[in-house]
Parts: sequence; C-alpha cells; structure tokens
Amino acid sequence: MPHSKPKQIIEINLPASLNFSSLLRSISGEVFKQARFPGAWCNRLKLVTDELFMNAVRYGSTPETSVIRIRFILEGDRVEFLISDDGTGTRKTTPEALQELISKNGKTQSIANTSGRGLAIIGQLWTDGLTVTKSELGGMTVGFVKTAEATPPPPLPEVDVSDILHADVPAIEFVFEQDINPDSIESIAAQVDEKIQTLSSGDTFILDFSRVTYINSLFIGRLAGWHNEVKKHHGVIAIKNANPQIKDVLNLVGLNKVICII
Amino acid sequence: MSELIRPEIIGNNTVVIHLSGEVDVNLLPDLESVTKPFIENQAITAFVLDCQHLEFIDSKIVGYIAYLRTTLTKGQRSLSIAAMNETINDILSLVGLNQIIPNFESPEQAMTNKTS
Repeated sequence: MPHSKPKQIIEINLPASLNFSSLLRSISGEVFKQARFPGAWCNRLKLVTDELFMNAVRYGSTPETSVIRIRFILEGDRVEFLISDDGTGTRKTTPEALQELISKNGKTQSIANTSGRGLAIIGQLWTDGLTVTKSELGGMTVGFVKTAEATPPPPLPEVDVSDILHADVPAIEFVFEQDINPDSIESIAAQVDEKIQTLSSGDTFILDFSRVTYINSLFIGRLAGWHNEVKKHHGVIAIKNANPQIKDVLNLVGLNKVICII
Repeated sequence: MSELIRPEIIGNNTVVIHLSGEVDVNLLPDLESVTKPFIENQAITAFVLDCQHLEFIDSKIVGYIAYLRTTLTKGQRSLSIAAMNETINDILSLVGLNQIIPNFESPEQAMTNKTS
C-alpha cells in the first residue's frame, strides 16, 4: 500500500523590510518546485508571495522593527502559504472587512474592488482563493492554497463597468497641494481618508489633480481603495484637472470605468 | 546605481535599457534615475526595454512601465520590449501591457521595426 507524503511545515520569520523580498522569492520558488509545480506556476506564485510580503511590510508592520512570519504547508501536490504581520502598520481595516472586499471582488471581477490592484488580480487568477484571518502576532494572516497544475491561468477578468456615475448631487472636494511621491503618499492618503469619513450618503467626492504631475502604482491602489470607501457612502469619486498622462494611466488600468474623470 | 539596469544609446535617437535578474520595488528608484534623463531628452525618440536576462519584475515595476508607455506615447515617442521570457510576459499580461507595448524577439528587431 503506497504511503502518502507526510505534511511538511516550513516556517520563516523575516524582518519587515523589502530588502528580504528577494530571499522570500527564492525560497518560494524552491518550495513550489519541490511540490512539483511546473516552472511557469512556480514563477507566478513567486509573484503572489512577493506581493503579499510587500503588503505585509508596507501596511501591516513597522518597517525594520516588526517581524513577518511566513509558513508553507506542503501536503502532496498542495501547498498552503500563510503570511502574518503584527498589525502595527498603517492598515486600518479588519480581517473580516478585507476578506469581504476580496470576496466581493471575486463576484464582480472588478480590479477596483480591493485596495491592492495587483493583489486583487493575481489572487483571483493564480490561486485557489485568498483568505484573511487574525494573526497570532496581532495583525492579519493572509493566505492562499494552490494545488499543482499544468493548465494555463484563466483569462483576465472583464473590468466592471456597471457603476453609473451620479450627477447633480452634493460634492465634497479635496485638493492635492503637492505632487505625490513615495515619501508623501502616506500623509496625503491619511488626509483623504479623513475627508472621506465626513461624506454624507450620496455625496460626490472630487479629487483635484491640478498640482499632481505623476501617479505611481501605489497611488493607483489608493484610488481603488478610496473608490470602495466612497461607494460605502453610496457616493462616487470624480477626478478633475488630471493631466493627459494621468488620464492615460487611469484608462490603462480601467479606473476610468468606475471613477468619473472630469 | 544597480548593475542590473544598464542604458545603452544606439545611434542618435534610441536608448536600450538592459534589465537583468530580479528588478523589484527596491530597484525602482534606480530605474527612474536611469530613464529620467532620456525621458527629458526629446532627441531620444525610441526606448527599448531589453528583457533578455530579466528574470522577475513586481507590480511596482509594471506600474512604472505603464507610466513610461503613456509618457512616451504622448510625446510621439516609442517604447518596445525585446526578448521577454514567459514569466515577464505573464506578469505584464496582468494589466494588458503585453498587448499594447510592441514586443520583439531581440533589441535589434525592435530597433529595425521602429525605423520601418
């Protein structure tokens, strides 16, 4: 009678620093290879673990101080990946709320329905589903399960175009007083978050981009998150005075379908 | 400056950015520094990302490539990708960049195409 392979657990504690991204990718690649995943899937799952590590460092931890716990649980051709943070970062949501966002995204297939654009897409396409629970370190544990397969990933989801933008409704405006760069994004985002909390039901939230010359992927993720927050208030986001380059980026990632650009 | 990102000027108007190994968020400032002078130099009309030795990029680099594409296109300049492997193609496909940025088997082919 054949013996099934015993469950193996690999646990690693890494400092909350993106300097360790490369090490984690290397370990992930090796683990999935050992679990007999085809090469293409090893590379895809390396990206998934990399994005989850980046989120845990950036939003769930205190950089250079916190520890991030990573676990691979191997059982036959199935691998479970879990990453836990201590919750001391800037992330304000609860595991339940984040899980709900991810589940909602699965139903609507909209890239704007989670705060991390890349994470939303790859979680949906390249794993058997992302889970979010409270971590033993005090923050969140985000995980996924994947069974070895040789099939290509499913086609990219269609962007949700069902949102109808409102007109002639009360508007609250936020003017970005300076350009947004990696150093300023957190403080600016906190101001926007605060403003969103003052919205009444059905308000339009207008972001004035007249002094913004460039947006990066971090900011795109924030925009998607703000869209979801404003939606909870039954309102919509509009962007005004965006330069052509920014409009092109918004079009490229599909945010123009859910955010009104005026 | 990282040795994994190396610019090479070809002729009067083309720059080939050779990318090697794993280029992730930690190298984004280097990538921005390398490309910025060429973006500002309007005489450079063709950009080629040589991915022959590139093994990995993360979402932040994907975001920067999207920015490069839109910026250059607005200025009537070109961006193409050369010699990308299946992994890089997979990652770029997540946001559809592999469909809107022309890709070629080699930098030489990319440069031939832009002049034709």
